[in-house]
Amino acid sequence: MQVRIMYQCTVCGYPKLKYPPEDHVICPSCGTQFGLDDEGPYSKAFLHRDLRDRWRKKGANWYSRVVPMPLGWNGYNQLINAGLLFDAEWLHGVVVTSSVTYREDSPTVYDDYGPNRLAVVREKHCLSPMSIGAL
Amino acid sequence: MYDWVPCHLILLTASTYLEHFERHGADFGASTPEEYEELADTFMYGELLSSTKECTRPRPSPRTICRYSAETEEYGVKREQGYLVTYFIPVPLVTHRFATNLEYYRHKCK
Repeated sequence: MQVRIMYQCTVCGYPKLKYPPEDHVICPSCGTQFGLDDEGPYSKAFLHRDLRDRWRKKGANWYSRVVPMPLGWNGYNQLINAGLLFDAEWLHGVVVTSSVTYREDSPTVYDDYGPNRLAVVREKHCLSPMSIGAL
Repeated sequence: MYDWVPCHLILLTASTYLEHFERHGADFGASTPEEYEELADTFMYGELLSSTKECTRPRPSPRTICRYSAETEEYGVKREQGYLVTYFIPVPLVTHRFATNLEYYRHKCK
């Protein structure tokens, strides 16, 4: 039996890239072309976070029309599973005190997030046990 | 088709080829993948014009060859063995974060 190695997109957390996220590989989930979109006079970590934020702000939708969207796929769930949903600079240091259930019913949180929206995030968004570790 | 090639060989397989067409076909007004491929072939395998720069990147392995035209702003990458990787027109500060495409090209050729 042959085992196919899959790679995770470092921008959106898509876990089934056929090749490492580098050298012009395009992620079908967020559309990032590694080696193009993540090139600039900044660190990779900064660029990946910025690309992630942009994708999330646009609704975290499936990008590719060539690669079919997996059944039941959800961009926010994917970010949570990868521990990337709250990987925003302004959220670092936040202590999560309650709740372990993820809800998707407050999309406005993602439309204009920032320091002033922290209360909204706490009120409407709950963290899964996995994402708590990411904070 | 090439699903089980060694992982260090990133080829334009049937799916990745379509992904690159999907992403960059519009850069050239290509309406079909075949049209995109033809344009890419012409740029990457055609004669090296005076306005076009070419470099061989030492990394990743296997080595890749980049071409950039300062005149048309076309940019392409192929493997040293000849496989085409990608072909597009970069947009400064949008598709990459450098101020010019020449900076991007130079960065990629380091």
